[in-house]
Amino acid sequence: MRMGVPMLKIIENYIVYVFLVMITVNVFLFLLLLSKKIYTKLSIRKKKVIQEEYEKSLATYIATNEKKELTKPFGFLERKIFFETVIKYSSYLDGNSKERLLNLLEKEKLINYIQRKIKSKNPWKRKIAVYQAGEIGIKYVVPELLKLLDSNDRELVYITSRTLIKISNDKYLKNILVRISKGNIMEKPNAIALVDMVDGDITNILEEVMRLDSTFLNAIALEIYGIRQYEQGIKWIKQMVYHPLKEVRISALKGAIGLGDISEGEYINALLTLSVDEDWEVRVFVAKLLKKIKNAESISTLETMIKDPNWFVRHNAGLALIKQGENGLRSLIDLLSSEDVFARDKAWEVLQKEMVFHKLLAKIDDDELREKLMEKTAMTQLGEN
Amino acid sequence: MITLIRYFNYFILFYLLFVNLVYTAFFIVSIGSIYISNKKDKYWSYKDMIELSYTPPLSILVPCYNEDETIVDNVKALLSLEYGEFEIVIINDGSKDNTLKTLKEAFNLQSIDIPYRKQVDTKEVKGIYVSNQVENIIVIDKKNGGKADALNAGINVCQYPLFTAIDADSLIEQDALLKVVRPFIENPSVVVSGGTVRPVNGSVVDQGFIEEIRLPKNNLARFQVVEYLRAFLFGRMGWSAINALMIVSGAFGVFNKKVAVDAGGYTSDTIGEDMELIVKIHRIMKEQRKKYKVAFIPDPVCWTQVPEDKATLKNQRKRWHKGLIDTVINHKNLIFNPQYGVVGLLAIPYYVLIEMLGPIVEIIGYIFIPFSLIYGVINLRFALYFFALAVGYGIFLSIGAILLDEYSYKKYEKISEYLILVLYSILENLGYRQLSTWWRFIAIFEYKRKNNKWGDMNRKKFNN
Repeated sequence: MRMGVPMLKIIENYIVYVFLVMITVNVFLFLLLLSKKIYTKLSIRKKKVIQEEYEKSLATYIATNEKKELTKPFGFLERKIFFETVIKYSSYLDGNSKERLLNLLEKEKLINYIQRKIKSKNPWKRKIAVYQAGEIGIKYVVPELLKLLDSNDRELVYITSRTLIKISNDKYLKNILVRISKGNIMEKPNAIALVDMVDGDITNILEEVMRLDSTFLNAIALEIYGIRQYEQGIKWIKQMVYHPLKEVRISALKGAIGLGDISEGEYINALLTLSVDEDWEVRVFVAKLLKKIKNAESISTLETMIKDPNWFVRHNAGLALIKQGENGLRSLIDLLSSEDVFARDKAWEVLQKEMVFHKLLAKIDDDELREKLMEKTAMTQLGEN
Repeated sequence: MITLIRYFNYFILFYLLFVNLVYTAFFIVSIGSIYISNKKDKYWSYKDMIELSYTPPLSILVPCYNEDETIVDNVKALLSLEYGEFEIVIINDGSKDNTLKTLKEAFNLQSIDIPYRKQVDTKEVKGIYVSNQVENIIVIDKKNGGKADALNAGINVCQYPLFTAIDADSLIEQDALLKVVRPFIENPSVVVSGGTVRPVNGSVVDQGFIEEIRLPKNNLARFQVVEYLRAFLFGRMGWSAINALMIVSGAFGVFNKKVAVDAGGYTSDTIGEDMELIVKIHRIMKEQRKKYKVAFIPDPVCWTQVPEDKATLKNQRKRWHKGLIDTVINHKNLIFNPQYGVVGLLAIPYYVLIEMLGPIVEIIGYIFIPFSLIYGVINLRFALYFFALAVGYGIFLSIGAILLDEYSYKKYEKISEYLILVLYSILENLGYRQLSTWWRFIAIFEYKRKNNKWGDMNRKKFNN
């Protein structure tokens, strides 16, 4: 019994047909690949020469600010490569330099090109154009950018915000912050990174943001106070350590970590109340903060925290104690005899690491303390031989 | 008998049609994904990622077993990667050679007692060492327990929220970490991100850095270049597009540490620990109804040594297949289970029906051909046309992958290298593919549960 002869014939005809199509497609793909490769090879060689030339002249221009170092690109490929090179080195160029380079690239044409792309229906072209506008500092596109800020596309909102900051610094920062506080459009680290790109004093904007009823923006502002070391943030940090949301309390602590050792009793006391916070994530940041605040109260708080039920809190408390100078060291040496196994192990680890990485024994001025350490650890200068 | 042969032939025909439809779908999805990925690179500033504070710190886990020839170069190359804050955790899994001694000498290691959280169970850790030259290196010396066990020890000791596992015989490109971590910054629901792996054989490597990318000279390695291109450029791209990626290569993947620990870490009693972890992550995230994404980025490249001799390649392929069987058996209740969405309804059935059982169907198909001819179920012309079509389709997929590579990444510079790749994509259908299928077929019958030895791979020093 055969495989149904007519059926077999029909299948065979189909197979032959598909096979021929396959052969054609494969030959077409091969020719496409070959021609693409030949074209790429030739254009890469040509591009490389032009690119090297522009990179060299742009580097000299950045170093000397002498316009004569730059030759005006005339051909399509040259203009394209020049544009790409400017984008590549844009972070080394100030506004005036970019303006001069734009003029070399036939400013009007370029602006029209970018504006057209920003209005494109293709989301990728739009995003690329927005990014390029920021890199080369095209101010004329700001109205379009402000419209794009209302988009629901997370990436587009991020790139648009970045471009607005690159072009106008803090001018539209409030618009950006208000936008990103709505609809979960941006993650906090990305928002902080954006604000961090702004040059100059932004305390007034942060003050306004802290008065807004948005915990998301409040948290960002608190962290920025720390990153930029604005002491104007102290009053807000003091207030926010009592916030019901742990994320805001953590941001307050991050702000405080950035500010460092501020000797203001009321402020420190407010922060130390968080050492017994119900959330371990908050307590971890208290331990991290105490690496920066060096006093007897910090040491006694850390001695308690190194016995915390949570591992991360204990770990950070151990690391913070060694930052407390000789008193912290004394405390760590005493912890080597603690009944708490973890506190003992942590103290041991921290002391060993300090010996290996930072030549601890050689750094101790107090002979008695050095001897005590050597006696307790029963070792010589580990890592210092 | 004839009826059986006839129905089996129909089955083969429809099976091949189904498999090819799946691959074609992957191809189409991958073209779109690569287009998007290329566009994204044009509006993303990796310089920002290095300079600004939002890039999460990363632990690089380097498990090693008898790697004394390459480990130092490899670690030195890792130290020079473009990334903000990272640590390198090298786990010596009871090597019998001088791996630990070599590391001690190269980085001036000091033994240190570090209390760590044993979040995942592992074999005994004999010692932990830190370098007094380089502060971000930590070496764990432990009893042999297999690669998964070594990685788990690394997870216990590492301190950052993200970790990546990189094989000690692999090299990653300078900016690869930035690129592979990018999905975590873009999308907070990303829990795993993987990059592309390519064979490094034949390339010029100097002290852990790739000086010049070249095609391997060895035939087996060349076949594997084509295979890797196909697997990564559209297999994984395709699955990633529907969030059903089941494998992030053990050679190069970044994980959210908390999620990996919640999933129980790497499974020690399996040989396919990389796939097993990803499936476990899919599983717990689906069970906990959490929003998550397993991402794949085609551009960051990890270069790895591939086997150049038949025996090693055979072992590797058998190991991979046994690993696949392990994972499928461990998670059999996911198959066609709607609770697990596309993972249960598409991905796992694909791995069972096409990847796991494919070799059986293919081998039986070859066996049935002479019988079909003898009993006159099909004629020789039909058989030849059918084989030619299968080969033609295989070539189409391979050339498609090579073309995607040329359009996007252009890793190989010479025209002759692309011509060689096309030639090998034709030749692989005439022996290599059948051999590989045969090894996977044997693996099914040799399969034993709970076999977790390190694979024997003849490591070579990189070409200088």
